Amino acid sequence: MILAALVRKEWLEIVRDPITLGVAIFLPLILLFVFGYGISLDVEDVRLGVYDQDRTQASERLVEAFTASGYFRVTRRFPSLDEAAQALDRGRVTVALVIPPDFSRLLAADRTAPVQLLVDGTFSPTALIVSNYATAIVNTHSMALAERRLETLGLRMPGRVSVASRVWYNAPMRSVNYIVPGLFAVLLMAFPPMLTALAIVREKERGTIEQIYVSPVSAPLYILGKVLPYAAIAFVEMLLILTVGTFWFQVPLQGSLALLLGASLLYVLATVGIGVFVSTITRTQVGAVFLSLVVTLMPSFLFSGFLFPISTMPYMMQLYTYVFPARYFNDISRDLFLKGVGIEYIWWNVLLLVLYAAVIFIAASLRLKKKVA
Amino acid sequence: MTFPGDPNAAPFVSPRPQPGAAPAVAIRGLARSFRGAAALRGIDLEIRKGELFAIIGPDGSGKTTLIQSICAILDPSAGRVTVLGWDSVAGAARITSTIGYMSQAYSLYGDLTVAENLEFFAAVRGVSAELLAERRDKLLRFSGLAPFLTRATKALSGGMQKKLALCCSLVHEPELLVLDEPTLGVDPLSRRELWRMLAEHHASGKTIVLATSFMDEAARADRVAMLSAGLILACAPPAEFGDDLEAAFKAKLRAAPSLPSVALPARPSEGAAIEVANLVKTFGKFTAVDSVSFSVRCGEVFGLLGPNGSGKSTTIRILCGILPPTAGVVRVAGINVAVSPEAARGRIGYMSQKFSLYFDLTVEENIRFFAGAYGLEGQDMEERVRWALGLAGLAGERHALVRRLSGALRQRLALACAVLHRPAVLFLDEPTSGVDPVTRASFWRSIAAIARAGTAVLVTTHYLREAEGCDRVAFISRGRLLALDAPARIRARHGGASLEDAFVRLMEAAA
Amino acid sequence: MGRLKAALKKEFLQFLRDRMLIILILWTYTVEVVVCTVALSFDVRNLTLALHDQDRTQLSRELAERFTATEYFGRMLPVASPGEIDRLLDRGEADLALVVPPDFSRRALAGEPAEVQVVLSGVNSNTANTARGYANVIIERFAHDLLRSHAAAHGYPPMLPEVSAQTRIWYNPELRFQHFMVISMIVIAALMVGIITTAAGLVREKESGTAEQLMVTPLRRHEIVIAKMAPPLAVGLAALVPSIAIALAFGVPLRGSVTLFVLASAVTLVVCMAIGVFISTFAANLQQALLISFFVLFPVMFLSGTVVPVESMPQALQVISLASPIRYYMEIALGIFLKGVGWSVLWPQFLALAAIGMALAGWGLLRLKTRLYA
Repeated sequence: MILAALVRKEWLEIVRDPITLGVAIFLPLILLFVFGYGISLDVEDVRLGVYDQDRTQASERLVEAFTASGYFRVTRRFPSLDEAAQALDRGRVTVALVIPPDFSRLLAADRTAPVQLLVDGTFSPTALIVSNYATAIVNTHSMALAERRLETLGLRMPGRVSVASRVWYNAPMRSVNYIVPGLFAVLLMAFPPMLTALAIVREKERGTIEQIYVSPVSAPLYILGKVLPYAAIAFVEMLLILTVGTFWFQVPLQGSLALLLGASLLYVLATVGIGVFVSTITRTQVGAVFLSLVVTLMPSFLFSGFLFPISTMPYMMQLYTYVFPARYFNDISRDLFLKGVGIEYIWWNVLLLVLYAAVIFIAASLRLKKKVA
Repeated sequence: MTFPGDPNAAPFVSPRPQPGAAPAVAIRGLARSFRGAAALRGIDLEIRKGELFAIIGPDGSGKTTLIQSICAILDPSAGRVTVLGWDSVAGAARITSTIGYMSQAYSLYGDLTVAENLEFFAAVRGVSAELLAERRDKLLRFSGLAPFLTRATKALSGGMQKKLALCCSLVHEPELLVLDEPTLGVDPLSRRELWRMLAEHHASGKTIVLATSFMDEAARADRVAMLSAGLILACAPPAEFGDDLEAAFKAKLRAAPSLPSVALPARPSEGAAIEVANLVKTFGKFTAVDSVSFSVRCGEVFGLLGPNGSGKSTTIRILCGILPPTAGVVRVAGINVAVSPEAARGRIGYMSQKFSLYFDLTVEENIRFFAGAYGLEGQDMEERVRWALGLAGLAGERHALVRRLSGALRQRLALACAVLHRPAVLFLDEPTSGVDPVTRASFWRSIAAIARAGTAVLVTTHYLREAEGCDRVAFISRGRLLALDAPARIRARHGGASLEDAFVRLMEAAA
Repeated sequence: MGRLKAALKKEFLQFLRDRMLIILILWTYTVEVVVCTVALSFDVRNLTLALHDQDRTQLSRELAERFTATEYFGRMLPVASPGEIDRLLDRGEADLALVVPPDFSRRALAGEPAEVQVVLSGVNSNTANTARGYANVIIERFAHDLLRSHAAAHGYPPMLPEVSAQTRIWYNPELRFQHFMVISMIVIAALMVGIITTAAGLVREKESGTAEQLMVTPLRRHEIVIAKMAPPLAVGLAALVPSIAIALAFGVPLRGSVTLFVLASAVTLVVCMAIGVFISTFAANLQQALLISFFVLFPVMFLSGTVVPVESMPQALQVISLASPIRYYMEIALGIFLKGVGWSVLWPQFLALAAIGMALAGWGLLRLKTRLYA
C-alpha cells in the first residue's frame, strides 16, 4: 500500500521532468548510435599513397594487388619521397608504398626487389593490422611471381601450402557485433545509477525527505520505492537498446533471449542499487553526480572490458574491474550474443550479479538512517 | 459566519489539559552540537497534551534544532526527548509514524498536482480511501485549494504551497503536529487562512508545537518559549510577557547588537526618483503586471505590498532593468530603463530576498568585489569599504567567510553591498524575510537613515507591521494597483486598526 | 578596467578556495592520465596459440615454431582433439588455434595443395583481426620458403624473382599504444575541465541568485564571462606541466614545439569553456548543467579521434566530427608530440579551432544576454 504510493509518486515525478526522462531514454539511444557507428577498429578502405619510381607494368601490378585486396584505396600518387612524408605528416594517407626505380629490372633479372611500406603508427592497434595486411599482400604477390617464373622454366606445381581461417562466434569480424553487446553493460551502468542517486539527493536538498523521515515509511521501503521505478526505467531502456541493437545494427543474438532478459533484470537492480548507495553518502546533487562519475560512468566505459580488454591490464587493475558489476554483465552479454552459450557457462557471473544486488541494497538500507544529521 | 481562528470571533478557549495526564512532549537536559558548535545547550521542557505551544527566538537560537529533535529526526548529543511516551532515539520509528510535521524547507513534490500530493501523503500515512475522501473535502474547503486540484504544485504561489503542505501534514489528523516557521514568506491573507486551519485542528484537542518569527502568531499560543543561544530564556503564557510580545522580545534580547548609526552623505534630491507609467508585463498569456503607475520621490521609503504572486518581484526586476517591460514607461533616476538599462545600473542598488552574496568569500572580499564591480578604485574604494563595514557592523569580522555568518549578519552585509556606490534608488525585495524582530527593527532604522540621506527606497515585505514605517505604500494584487497612500490614510479609508487589517479587507474585496 | 579587475579577483578567490575543484582538475590531468595509460591498451601481444598437430612431422613442427618465434605469440598449448579447441576458445584460454591436417607434410613436400586451418574467436574483432594478420604473414612466408626449397630440390636455379617488403612504422616505431593513450587523456582532460568548470560556475551564480545581483551592477556580460574563464584556464595550463612530464616518463617523444602545444591547449580550453557558457544558458540548476555537460561531453569525446581514429568511422560521422574542436586539438597534439610537425603543417587545425571558438563564444554571449538570470 505504502510502497504503491511511493512508486506512483516517483513515477509521476519522472514522467513530468523532461530533462531527466530525456537523459534516461534518449541519451543511451544516442550513445548507442554514436558508439555503434563510431567505435570501430575495423580496417577497411585504408588510404594508400604510392610513390612509384619505376612506372612499369610490373610496378603497376603490385599496386593493383593492393587495391584488389579490398582493404586499400589509392588516394595519392607522389612525385617525390618528400611529398610522401608530408602526406603522412598531415595525416592524408595511412600507408605510403615506395617502389624503387629498378623494381621491374630486378624482378626480370630474377633478383629481389625491395619495396618500402611507410605506415603511420600513431594509433598502434590499426597500424598493426594495416602493416600485417600490407606485408601479406606483398608476400602473396611475390609468391605468385616466383610460381609463374618456375612455370615458365617448366616446373608446374599442382598446389601449395595455404591457410584457411575459420572465425568462430563473430564470423564476419564486425566491430559492431562486439561493441553493441558490450554497450548494453556500459549504458545500463552509466545512467540509471546517476539518475537514482539524484532522485534521492534531490529530496535531501529540497527538504522533502524530512517529510518522509517523519512518516511511517521505513528506510528499506523508501529505498525500494526508488529502486523499483528506476529499475523499471532501466529495464525499458534495455529493451529499447536491445531492439535497436538487433534490428538496426543487425547484431544477431545467438543465445537465449529469456536468459539475457533475466540477467539484465538482475543487472539493473544492481546498478540502480549502486545509485541508491551513492545517494546515502552524499548530501548535494553535485556530489552525487561526481561520485556517480567516479564509481559508475568511468569504470563502466574503461574497466568493464567493453572496449579495452581486461586481459592486457596490470594485475591490480584486473582486480579493480571486479568491483563493478559492468564487468560481469559485459561477459554475460557477449557470451549470449556472440557465443550463444547456455546458463552452464555464465552461472558464475549471474551469481555474482545476484550477490552484488543483495549486498548493495542491504548496505544502502543500513546507511539511510532517517535522521537529518 | 466566523471561523474559530478569526480574530473577530469570540476569544477561543483551548481545552484545559487534564492534570496528571502524560505530557505530549517531555524534554530533559537536551543538548545538541554540530561539529563542536553547540546549537542547544540544555533544554528542559514539557508540552502538555492539547496545548498550542510556540517557540520564538532570534536567528540561530536553535529553534529548528529543537523542532527536529522533537520529531525524532535528530538524535540528542545529551539528554533525552520523550514524545507521546516514546523515546526519540529508541522509539523514533513510532514517533515519526504518528506525528505530523511541516519543515521549513519546501516539503511538497513540485511536479505532482495538488490532489496527487494529498493522495501521496495520505497513502504514506495509511489513511484509507474513504477517510481521505471525507477529510480531503474539509481540508480543501478550509484552504481554498479546491479550484487548483489538478494544478502542478510548483505553479502555486508560496502562500498556497504552504497551505497545501499543512493539508498534507493534517491528512492523518495527528495527535501532535510540529511546524517549523509555517508562515515564512507567506502574505498576510494566506497567513490568516493557515491559522484558521491550525485553530480548527487545535480545537479538536490536538497538540501543536510551532516555531515562528511572527510575534502576533506566538501571542495566540497557550504558552511561549523564548529561545536564545540554545537556552530557554523564558517559558510562559503570552499574557505574562506583557501586552506586547514583540516589545517583550526586544527587551529580553537587548543584548543583541543594534546597527551603529552611520552618517550618510546627502545626495541632491530633485523630483521623482522612480516614475512608472502604465507598466505592463506579460509572460505568454499570463499578465503579471497590469498597467501599474506610481512614482517615488527622492528620500522616500515606498512600500510595495501584495500577496504572493501579485507581481511585486516582477515590477522590481523591471525597474532594475533585469526584465524588459511589455509596455509602459519606466524611469529610474531619470533614465529610461527599458532603453538603456546599462546606464541606470550605476545609479541603483538592489537587494533580493536571497541576500545574494558569495558564501565562499569573506565579508571584506564581498564588499571589495561589489565596490569594484561598480567601478570604485583607489582611495574611493578604501573609503567605501570602511564605510560599508561600519554600516554592516562587521568591522571585527571582515575576514570571516560569509558562509559562517548568521542570517541576520548576512542581511546587513547584503544591504551594505547594495548601497556601497551611493545609489539614487534602492530596491529591497523582501529584505527581512525569516529574520527575527530585533534584527528587523534595526534593519528598518538603517533604511530610514539611507532614505534621509536622499536615496529613494522601494521595499516589499510581508511584515505589514513594519510597512507602517513607510512614507507611502501601494497595494497590488494580480498585477493591479488597488490602493496607494500613506499608511495612516489607508488605515482610515479602508478601516481596521492596523495596516494588516486594511490589507486583508482590500484583498478580500478584490477577490 | 577596474570592473574587470574586481571580477577577476573575485573569481580567483572563489576558485582557489574551492579545493575540491582544483583537486579534480589536477586529478584529471595527472592520476587519470597515469592510470588510464597504464591500464588501458589495445595491444595484441603474448597471444596463446593452441596447436592441434595431426601430422606430427618435422615440417609441421617447423611451422609451429615459426609462430612462437615471433614476439606476438607467447605460449603454445598442444591440443589432442578438436573438441579441446572449442573449450579453450570458449573460455578465452587460447586466442588462436592452428590445425595441421594428417598428411600435411607429405602433400606440401610433393607440391600438392596442403591447407592448414587457423581457428580464432571473433568476439573481439580487433584482437581477431590482428591475430589473423600475424598468422597469414607467417604462413605465407612459410609457403614461400617451401616453394624455393622445392624448386631447389628439382634442380631449378636458386634465383627467383621476389618482392621484399621493408615495413617502417613512422612516429611510433614500437607501436606502443601508451603513446597514443597518454596524449589522448591530456586532450580529454582539457575537454572535461573546460566544459564543466565554466558551466558549473555560471549556473552556480544563477542558482544562488548572485547572477541577478550581477545583472544590476555595471559589469558587462563579457567581463563576467572573461573573469569566469580565467582561473580554470590558468590552472588547466599549469596542469600541463605535470602531464607533459608524465607523457615524457612514458617515453613519448616530444618532437615538436612545447610553446605551440601550450598555445593549442589554451585555445582549446577557451573553446571548451565557450561550450560551457553555452550549456549554462540552457540549464536552470547545477544538476541540469552537469547532465547536459555529459550529454555533450561523451559524444564529442568519442567522435574526435581520442578513442578510435576518425578515419575508422563511417563517412557521415567523419563529416560531423569536423565540427568538433577536440578533433583538431587531438590532431595538433599527435602532430607535435609524435610527428614533430609545426605551424606550417598544423595551421589549418588552429584556424578551425579558432573559427569554432569564435562562433561558439559569440552565440553563447548572445544567449547569455537573455538567459543569465532566468
